[in-house]
Amino acid sequence: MNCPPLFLRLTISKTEGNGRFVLWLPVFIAWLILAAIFIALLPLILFIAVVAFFFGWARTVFLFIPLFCNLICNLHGLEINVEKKDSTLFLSFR
Amino acid sequence: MSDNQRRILDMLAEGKITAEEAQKLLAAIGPGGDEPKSALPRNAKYLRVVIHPDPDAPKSEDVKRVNVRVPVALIRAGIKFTSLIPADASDQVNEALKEKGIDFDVRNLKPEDLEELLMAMHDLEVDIQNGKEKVHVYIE
Repeated sequence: MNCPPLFLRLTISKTEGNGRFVLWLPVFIAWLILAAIFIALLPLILFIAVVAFFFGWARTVFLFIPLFCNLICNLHGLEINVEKKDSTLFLSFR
Repeated sequence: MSDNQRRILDMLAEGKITAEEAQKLLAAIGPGGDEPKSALPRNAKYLRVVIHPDPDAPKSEDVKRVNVRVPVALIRAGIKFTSLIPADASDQVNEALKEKGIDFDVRNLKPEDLEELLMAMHDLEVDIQNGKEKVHVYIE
């Protein structure tokens, strides 16, 4: 499994002039918070999974978290660059 | 008929790809198609989608260029994630896609199909021109 992205680099630049704004967002903090929330809610999630088992939803409840983690870990390298007439937006997961 | 050609025709018959896409894929694997041109190489990491204005189109005010690099691993993870979509939600997604003119069943999305598509796309670049923009899709 890949390492989840640690930073989100956001760059907004103006085509005219030298206005350039670069922001490094530490997304690893969000992952740490999510992990803490997950651990805190683990007993509740297990209870929901047991209840969901009777409705045929247990697989969804159990698989959601590992698949969501897999999705987050593979965000590394995603880049979105949108250039408009007067400005440019660049997003990159590092 | 090679395995690859048969697979493409099966995908066409199942409605997973359009006739145009099938034609492009068949052209990509070549006339013989006995040997796969190449497996998805290890260095093929990203799917690149580039949208840029058509130079032949009349100039408009809101000129936009979009360049998106999506990790192939993220696409794979996304496909796996679709397995969690409940059946009734899949129907709604299919209906919404149909409204947009895309006749596709999301329940048919399988990781092995993606591997085949990516393998074919490695030797294929898709160019779409709609008069305003050019869309260029390729694997890098």
